[in-house]
Amino acid sequence: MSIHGGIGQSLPRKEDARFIRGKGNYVDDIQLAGMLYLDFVRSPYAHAKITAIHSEEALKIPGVLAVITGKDLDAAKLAWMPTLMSDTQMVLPVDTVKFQGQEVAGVVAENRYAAADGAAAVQVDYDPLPVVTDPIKALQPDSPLVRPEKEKKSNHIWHWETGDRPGTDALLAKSDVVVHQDLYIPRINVSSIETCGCVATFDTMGRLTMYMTTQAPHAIRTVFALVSGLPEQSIRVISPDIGGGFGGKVPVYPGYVVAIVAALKTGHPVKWVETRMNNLMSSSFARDYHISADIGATKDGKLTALKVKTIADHGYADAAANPSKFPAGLFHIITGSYPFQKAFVEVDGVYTNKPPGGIAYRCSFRVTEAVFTIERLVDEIARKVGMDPADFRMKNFIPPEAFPYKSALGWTYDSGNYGGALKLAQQMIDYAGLRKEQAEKRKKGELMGIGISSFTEIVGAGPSAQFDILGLKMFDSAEIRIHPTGKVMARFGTKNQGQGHETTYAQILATELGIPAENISVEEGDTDTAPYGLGTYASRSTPTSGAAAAVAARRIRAKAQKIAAHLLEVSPDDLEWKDYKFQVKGVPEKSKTMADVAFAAYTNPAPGVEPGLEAIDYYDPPNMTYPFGSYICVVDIDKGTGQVHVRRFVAVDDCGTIINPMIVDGQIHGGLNMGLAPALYEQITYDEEGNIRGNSFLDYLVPTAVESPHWETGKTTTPSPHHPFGAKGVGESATVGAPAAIVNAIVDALSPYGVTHIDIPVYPWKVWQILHDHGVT
Amino acid sequence: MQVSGQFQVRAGPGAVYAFFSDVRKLLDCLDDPHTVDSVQGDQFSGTITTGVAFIRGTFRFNGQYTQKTPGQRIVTQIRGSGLGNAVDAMLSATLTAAGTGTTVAWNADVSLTGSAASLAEHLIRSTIEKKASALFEKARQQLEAAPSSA
Repeated sequence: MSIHGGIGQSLPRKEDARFIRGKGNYVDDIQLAGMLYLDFVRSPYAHAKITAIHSEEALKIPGVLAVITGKDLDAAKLAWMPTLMSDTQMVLPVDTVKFQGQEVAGVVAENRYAAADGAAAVQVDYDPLPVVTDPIKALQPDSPLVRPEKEKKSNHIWHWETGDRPGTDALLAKSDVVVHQDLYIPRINVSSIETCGCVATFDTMGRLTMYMTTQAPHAIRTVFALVSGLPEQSIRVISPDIGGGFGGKVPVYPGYVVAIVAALKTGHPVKWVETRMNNLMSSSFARDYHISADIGATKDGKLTALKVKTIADHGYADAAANPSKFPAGLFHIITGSYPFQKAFVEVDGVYTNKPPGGIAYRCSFRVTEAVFTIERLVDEIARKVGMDPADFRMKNFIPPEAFPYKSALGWTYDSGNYGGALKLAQQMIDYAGLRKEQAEKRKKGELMGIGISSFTEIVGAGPSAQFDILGLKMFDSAEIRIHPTGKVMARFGTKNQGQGHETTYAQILATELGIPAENISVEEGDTDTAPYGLGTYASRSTPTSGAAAAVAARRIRAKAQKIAAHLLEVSPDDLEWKDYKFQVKGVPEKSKTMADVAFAAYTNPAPGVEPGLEAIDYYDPPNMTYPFGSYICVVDIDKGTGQVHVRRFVAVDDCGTIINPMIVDGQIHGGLNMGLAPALYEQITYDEEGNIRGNSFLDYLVPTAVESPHWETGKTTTPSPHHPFGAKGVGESATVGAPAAIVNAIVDALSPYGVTHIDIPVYPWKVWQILHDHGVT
Repeated sequence: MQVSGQFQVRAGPGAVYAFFSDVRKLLDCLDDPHTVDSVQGDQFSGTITTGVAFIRGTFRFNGQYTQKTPGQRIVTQIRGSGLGNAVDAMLSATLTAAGTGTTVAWNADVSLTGSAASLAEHLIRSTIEKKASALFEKARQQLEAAPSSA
C-alpha cells in the first residue's frame, strides 16, 4: 500500500503552481508604503585612497534624500563587519577601496531612478594605489599590501594542512609511476536568475523586519543582532521566494547593512536590489584555486599516495562560506573514491585586490575543486600506466564491503558502491562500443574523446562537534503541527531556493505520518515562525532538516499511538503502524488513521496524555553523507575551429534513498549545466589594473539551452546507514562531478598529440592553438 | 595603455608650444562636448561627455601642466571620473623644428578603470587611438589656419 505523495513518487512540485502562474513572491515584488530605494556609488579603482566624497550635486537631484558614506557608518562603528571566516570586511570604506566595483557610498531616493542618478552625481576623489590581482605575485615580498592595517604585514592569510607529509613524500618517492599536474580552477560567479536584494523596515516600536535574499535567515538574524546591538527578538528576517542561491546568498553583503542604516536614518522602508553588473562585480565569487598536485601508483596500476598544494585567492577579505574549523572548506575530500595509503594536502589563503568571497557555488565547501583535481589526476596516471581509465578506476575503487571507510585524510565515508555506478554508466553509454568507434575515428584523423568522472561528495553538515558557522552549530530543524482536521503545517530551519522543499519535505511527512502530501503545508524562511536552523547550502537540507522531519514525525507517531490505543480501547503495545495507520495486531479491521487520532488529540485525548499533536526536532547528524556517481562524457572536436561538441553525457548518481525521482533528475540536469559552464564557458578574470573582465553576460558566458547537451541520467541506490530513511544530499553532485568528465574527454581526444591537461574553461581558441601547434588545423 | 603618433605642422615650435599651452585651445580640438570650468595657472578643470561603445557619460576632470619647456616639450596630466569609471592620462608633446614647420611627436599614456574598461575592453585601444589622433589632427589644422604661425 502506498500513500499519496510518499517517498519515491515523482510528485509534481507543489510550489510550481505559483511559480508557473507568476505568483511567486520575491524580494523585488515587495512594495511597502513610503518605501525608498538604495543605490551605490562604486569604485572604478581596484585599490585607491579616498581623499574626498562630494555629495552636494547628488543631493540637489529631485527625489534624492540622503547619501551615506563610510564615515557616517564609522561613527556608529558599522563601517566594518565580520565575515563568516572571522575576518573583517567593509560595509562602506572610510578611506580606502580594495577592489573595483566596491560600494563607496549609498544613495537613498524616492525611486530607483533618482537613486541611480544620485549615485552617478556623487563625486569621489581618489588617489590610486598599486594593485595586485595575482595571488602568486601577492605572496612576493615586494607586492603591494592589500590589508596593511593587519598586524601581519603580508598578503598571506593562513596556512592549513592535513595528512602525513613525510609519509606521503616517502611513498611517492617509492611509487613506480608519479604524475605531477598544475591546475587552475578559475574564479566564477553563481549567476542566479535573481540577484541579491532586501527591503529593510522598522516599525513604530523600533523592531526591524528584513525581507532579504538569504539562504540562512536565522544565522543572518543572529549576525545582525551581534553587529548592530539590536535585541535578537527585535529582528525578524523573512526570506521570501528565492530565484536561485547556489551559495551566493549565504554571505552578508554591504547592501543589506546599508539598507538597514538607511531605513533607520530616514524612517522609511528601504529597498536595495542589485543589477546584474553589480552582482557580477561585487558579490561573492567561487573557486579561484591554483593547484599543484602529485599522484603515485604502482606499475600495475594501484594508487599509492596523493600530495596537493594550493594557493587560494580570497580577494581582499577572507569571507569564504566555510565551517569555522575548515579554512579550505572540505577540500580534503580530495582523496575521492580511492583508498590511498597516504595523502597530504596544504592550502594557503591569499589577499588580492578582488571582491571577497570563496563561496561554494553549488558544492559542499570546495568539493568541486577537490573532485576536479583527483579525477583529472586519476585519468592522467591511468594513461601513464597504460590502462583504460574505466578499468583503472574499477581496479582502485574503495570496495563496497569496506564501508564505513576511513579515508587517508580522516573522513569516514558512510556507504558506497562506486563500481556499481561506473558499471551502469558504461552499460548505458556502451563504453566498449565507443572505444571501438574512437579507434576507427583516430585512424581517419577525427577527434573524439571519452571522459570519466567517478566522484564522491561529502554533504550534510554536519555533526555539530566538527561543523559550525561563526560558532553556530550546524544542526537543523523541523517543527510539525497536526491540526484537528488531520492537516499538517510543518516549518523548517532550512530555506528553499528552487530545490523543491515544499514537495520533498511533504513527501517525507506523508510517509512518516500517513497523511497525503497534499494535506501538508511546508513553510521556511521566517525567523518569527520557523524553528532555528542554519539554512540551505552544501546539500544539507535533506541530510539535516529532512532527517529532523522524520525524527519529529516519529515522535508524533509515538504519542499518536497512545491516543489511538485510547480510541480503540487497547494497550498501545497491542498496536502496530502498518499501511499508514494504527492497527490492532492481528485484527487489521480495527484501526485508526492519523486524521482520526489528530481529531481526538484535540477533542478526546487519552488520559494522562497532553492535548495537541505536534513535535519539534533539532537534528544533529552523526556523520556527513557521501553521495557519489560516475559520469561519462563523449566529445567531438572540430579540427578547424577547436570547438568542443558534447555529443553524449551519461550521469549515474547515487544519493541513497530517493524522495522524488523527478526532482532528483531536475537537480541533476541543473547541476550538469552548472558543471558544463566552468568546463567550457565561465570565468572571471582581471587585468593588471584590477579591471574585472566578465561583469556582464556579454563576457561572462552562462550556457543557455542552445549550448546544453541532452543529459542522460541513471541511478543506483546505496542508502546512508545513519540517516533516518537512508537519504543523502544530491543538489550539488552533478556540478561537482561534471567538469572533470568533460575535460577528461577533451584531453582524451587530444592525447595522441601528447596533451595531458588544458585549464578550464576550455575555450575553442585553446584547443585550436594546440591543434595548430601540432600542424593539425 | 600607450598610444603615440607624430605629425608635421606648418607652424614654428613657438606657435605650437603656445597653442598646446592654452588648455582651452587644446581641448577645443576634442570632438566630444566639453567645458573648461576653471583655469588657474597650470591647473584646470572641466567636463567632457564621451564614451566607449555604448557606455557614454559625462566625466569630470582635473588637470595640470606638469612640464613646460618652451618650444620643446609640454606634458599634461589629467585625472577624471564619471559613471563608475576613472581615467588617468599623461599626454606629452615633443616639438622639433623641421624647416619652417615643426615635427610633433605625441604620446598618450592612458589608464582607464571601471565599467567602460570592463565592458568594452576590446574597443578601448582603438577608441583612444581614434580620439587622440583626431585631437592632434584638429590641432594641426587650427595651427595651420592661424594667421600667424611663426
